[in-house]
Amino acid sequence: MSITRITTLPVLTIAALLLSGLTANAEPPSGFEEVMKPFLKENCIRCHGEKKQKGKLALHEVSFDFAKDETSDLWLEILAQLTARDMPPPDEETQPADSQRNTVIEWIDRQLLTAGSGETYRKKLLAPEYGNWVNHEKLFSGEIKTPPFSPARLWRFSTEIFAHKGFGKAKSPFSYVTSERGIRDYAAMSVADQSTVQMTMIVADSFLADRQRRGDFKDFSEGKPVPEEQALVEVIRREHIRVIGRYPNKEEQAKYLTFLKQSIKTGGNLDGFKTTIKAMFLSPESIYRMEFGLGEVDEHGRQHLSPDELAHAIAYALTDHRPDNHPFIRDALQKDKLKNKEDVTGLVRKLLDEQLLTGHWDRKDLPRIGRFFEEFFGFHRAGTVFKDNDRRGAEKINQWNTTMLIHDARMLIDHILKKDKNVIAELLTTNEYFIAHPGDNEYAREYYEKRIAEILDPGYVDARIELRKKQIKGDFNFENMPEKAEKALVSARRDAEKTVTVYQAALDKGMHRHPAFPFEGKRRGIADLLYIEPYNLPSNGRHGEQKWDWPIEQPLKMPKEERAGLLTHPAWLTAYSLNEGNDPIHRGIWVYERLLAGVLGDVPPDVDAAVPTDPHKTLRERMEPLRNERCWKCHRKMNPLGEAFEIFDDWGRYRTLHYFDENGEIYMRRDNQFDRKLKEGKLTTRKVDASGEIAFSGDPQIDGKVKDAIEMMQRLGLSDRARQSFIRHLFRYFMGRNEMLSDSKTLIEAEKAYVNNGGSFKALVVSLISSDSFLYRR
Amino acid sequence: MIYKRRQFFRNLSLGGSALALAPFLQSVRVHGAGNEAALPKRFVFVVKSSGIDKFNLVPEGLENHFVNPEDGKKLGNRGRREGPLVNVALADHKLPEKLAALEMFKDRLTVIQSLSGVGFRGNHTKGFGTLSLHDSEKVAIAPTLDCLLGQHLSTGPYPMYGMAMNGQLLEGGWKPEDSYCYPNLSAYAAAKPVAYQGSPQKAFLELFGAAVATPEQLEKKIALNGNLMDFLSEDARRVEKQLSGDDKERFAQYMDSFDSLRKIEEKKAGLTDRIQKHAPERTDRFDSTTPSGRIESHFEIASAALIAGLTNVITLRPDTLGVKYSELGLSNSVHALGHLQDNKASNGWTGHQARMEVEKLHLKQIAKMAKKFAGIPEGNGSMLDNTIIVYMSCSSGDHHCAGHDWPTILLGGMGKKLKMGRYLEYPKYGSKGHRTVGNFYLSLMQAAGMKTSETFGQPDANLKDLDLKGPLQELMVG
Repeated sequence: MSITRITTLPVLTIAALLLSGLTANAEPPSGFEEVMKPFLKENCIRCHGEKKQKGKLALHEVSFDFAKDETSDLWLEILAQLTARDMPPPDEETQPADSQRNTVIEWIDRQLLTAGSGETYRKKLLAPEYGNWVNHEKLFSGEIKTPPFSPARLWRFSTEIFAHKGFGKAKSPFSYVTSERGIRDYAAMSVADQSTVQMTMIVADSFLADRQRRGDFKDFSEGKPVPEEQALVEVIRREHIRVIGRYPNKEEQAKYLTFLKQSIKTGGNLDGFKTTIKAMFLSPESIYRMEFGLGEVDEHGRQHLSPDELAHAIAYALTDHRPDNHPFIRDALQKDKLKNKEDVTGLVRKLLDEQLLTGHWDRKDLPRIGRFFEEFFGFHRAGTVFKDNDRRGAEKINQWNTTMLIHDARMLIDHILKKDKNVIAELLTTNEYFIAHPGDNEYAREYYEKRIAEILDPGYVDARIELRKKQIKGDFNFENMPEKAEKALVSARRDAEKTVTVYQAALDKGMHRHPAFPFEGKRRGIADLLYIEPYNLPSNGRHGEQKWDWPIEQPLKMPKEERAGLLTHPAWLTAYSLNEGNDPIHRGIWVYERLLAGVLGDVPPDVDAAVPTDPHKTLRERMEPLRNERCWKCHRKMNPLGEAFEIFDDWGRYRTLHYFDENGEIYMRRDNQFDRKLKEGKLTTRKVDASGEIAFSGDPQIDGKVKDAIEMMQRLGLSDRARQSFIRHLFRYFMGRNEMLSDSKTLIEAEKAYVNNGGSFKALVVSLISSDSFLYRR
Repeated sequence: MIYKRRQFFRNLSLGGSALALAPFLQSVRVHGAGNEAALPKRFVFVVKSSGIDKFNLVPEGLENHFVNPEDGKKLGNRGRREGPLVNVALADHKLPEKLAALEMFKDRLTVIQSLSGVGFRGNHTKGFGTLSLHDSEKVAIAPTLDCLLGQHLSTGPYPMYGMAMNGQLLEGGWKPEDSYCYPNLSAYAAAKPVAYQGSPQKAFLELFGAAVATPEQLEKKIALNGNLMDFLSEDARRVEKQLSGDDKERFAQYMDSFDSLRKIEEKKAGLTDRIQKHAPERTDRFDSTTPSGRIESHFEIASAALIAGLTNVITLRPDTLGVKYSELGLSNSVHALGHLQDNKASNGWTGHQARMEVEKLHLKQIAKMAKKFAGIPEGNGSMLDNTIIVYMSCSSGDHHCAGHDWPTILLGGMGKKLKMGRYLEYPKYGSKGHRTVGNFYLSLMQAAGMKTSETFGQPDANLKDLDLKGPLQELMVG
């Protein structure tokens, strides 16, 4: 492979948008003279005017005919450049004040709206990746007094809700169209089209086929008389609750009864009945959540969600189940305790207090809590980045077990949530990790001690052999095969003796032998320490010599200069890596968008996005060309943030040196060959340069150079900016949409609730779910 | 709507199978008139993963620009040597070993090399970008070529139909998909990806269900389906009344689908005779989970679906990066083979050879399909004269590839609109005379009778000094 593909986001050329027929209109729209003209003159005309037309763009005679496509396109581009702060160029000395910039952005936006153009742009802004386009300073300024609300809406069910509808293992017809990297379930982005309906039909067909096989439809078999009306009604009620999740009201019951009779007449008992169930499967209520605001209307014209709507909204905000499947929510609804803000606050607090982290390890009681951290951080995608087998061996990754790395990250998050103190800062800065640990110290110790006692018992080996004998006895694979059985017993003995030896060896060294935790309801199994190399720890298998003193009590403290929070965790680092190396660009984008609430312009697709490979250079050196003017305009926002993570390799291992071989080529091996060459003095080294910079963050307090990702995270993690950016993302997750300026009050109150409660995540969630943005529709 | 359906049934029962005969009658009429342009046109896209190697695609006797002249070794991804446009008749050259299976179709074969499609991200695949020529690896942002052609050409129930080995590109613990999946290749529009059927059994029932049902069963099925769609439309209208703006627009897609689904069923019913006549034999080979078994089943169903007129465009996804061609003696995945180069695979082949054998396995199926089509008379020739099979990869010309050289192999004909029997190699990326995949797609669209704009897909800014408008002149007749 001669090149490595890396996304570059160079300057977007506006040349394509040059308007050949640009002429000043007779009558500029109102506000132009006061707002736009001085702005253009001060900030734009010098490079895009009569004398100079950088990027072939001239703005001194710009058109105002916003209804025309080419004019609105040009203004949209100006709008995007201003919003992303790509123009005026950041190295220009005179920059417009933020207030000035915002006024101009709003002016353009208003013109587009008035002219009815920019529809595509407005739709685009509904997607999660454009959430930050709403001005951050303004949102948190406190100057916006509009009462918050969400639009009345239809929201197609999510993949996860579908999975809990009880239709077996059917593939969900409700796939996301949102980006895999980020918050996925957005109401405005959830479409049910022909392919969805077709797939729903496929699901219905296989569901019906299964039930028919099980004999569920015997009453409707062909040849039997049509069941009595009462039986038909009962069947409709039964199927309605099965498919839609509640009993039909009278009107619905009558509707389905008529249809059932008609279908039986057309297609006979069985097919008529099956068609009726299919109708339920494909009904709007099976496909969409509906939030119209059927409660009272307030003085601002906002409609409160009705108790029933609230029950659904809360259930789907925190779980993947219908409200009647959750005792607390069902109770609240039945007792008429879901009418107002206080009711909601009480219910959500109770849910969080009692069930925040409870449940089966793979089926949490409130699964949407854990999922937020996955969608926000993206660490759960560690396994989706393919790493070649050959590399693993050569680079001494004895087992590439991303599932376990992800598990470790989850334990870390759970631990921080349990403490519920300064949660955001902790997530971003802690060096206290969990490694190969079930997360519960009491359980870990108990299981460890049980295991030690069992193995050190002098009768252990014999007991294992006895156990194996019993197994063999009942196993037909060994029937009349004494030789095979004998071999199995020999190997069982060897196995047991080896186990005793390795446990004893660890104890002799004063270490705790990792006890191989089994799977059990609340906890995931953890086999061994074979996967822990990415933590710069020596690994060993089930029967190997343990080289690291695995702590029973966790979290354990990782070296402070090596790890700081989830972004330095191998799971996250791997999720944001490429097949064969680091991915500083996407890491930088992550930090810029999710912790700094930064805005990036659209990726210009018309550039050859390739970084040349050169075996003599480090990745950072190879990315040097991105620092030219054309690329740097956008890359300045991400590279200095992402390159700070170069203190890790793409397995997540901390490093301080790059190695080069005799030919001066970068040397990635870390196996015996590496040890040998190192010993023979055949390798040269260079220090890893992971220096970076936080710039343009919007918060001068955190701007400045950093030595590496550790220093960066320590600074960012404690910042207001990162906290607010986190809250904005949590808002999006629960509301299923991007924030609007009118959500300002909700966000400010949420931040207050968090801060006033010592950095409590629970307080934050309660505040958001009981906010006006959640409760009202318009 | 209800009226229309009744009328439809009357047609169906009174006229025997009046509608069913329609396409056939049309074909007969056309045949009599010798009007080639009016004959149905069809496309099959076979989009493999991991790239199609370029260096072993050059006919003998021509200078191979994809190897190092000194040692004959394959050059790197963007390493092809300079050279002018090559436009020669395949008849004058021996086909390279890889294409041996297509020897008998030499005059209907055209190989095109060095078209570029650059600017679409994707480390292993350009995803939807392959056929839409947009930067669109995983999320569809524009319609793809196969869907556009399908919407233009198909008169049958399906504008296009897709079958895939697996939806995921690089799945751990590979096994073939047994249901619908999304291989991220085809889309009718932004956010409208096409689901591909993975299971041959399910594809059979969906497409050829009529072949294993009695007329009464069929009529009952249509009537019930019609009732259902009427009921659902009525039901949905209640909700629609409460909606406005964007929600209403989105909800319309749900409501419209009932009509489309009804039409699919009705059109299928109209084709009952042909479906019964051309349905493939349903045996347990459809359950085979070996890659070649699955691929063979997909090709067989695809051929039959085109012959029966169920659709005019089919896209097949024969493998993914996780697939292991164990029947070739390979325990390495397609991905692993892509990284081997001169190193040995599990059965002793070099990486290059193993990749060629995989391509040969696909090409063998393509040849078999072409033979079938060649045996079906149509107009003054055969069905193959009006069907183009396109063999290409979603990763252009190599396992990891930015798309500077995107090889394609065309087999068949498009009613004498495309020059077949040629080897075309365009000048290197960026040099004068260089053309893009966009130009190639425009050629296919225009040959199929579509009106097109001057360009297709997103422009490549690096090539802004070249004239990249219109179809490939070297490929078009007249």
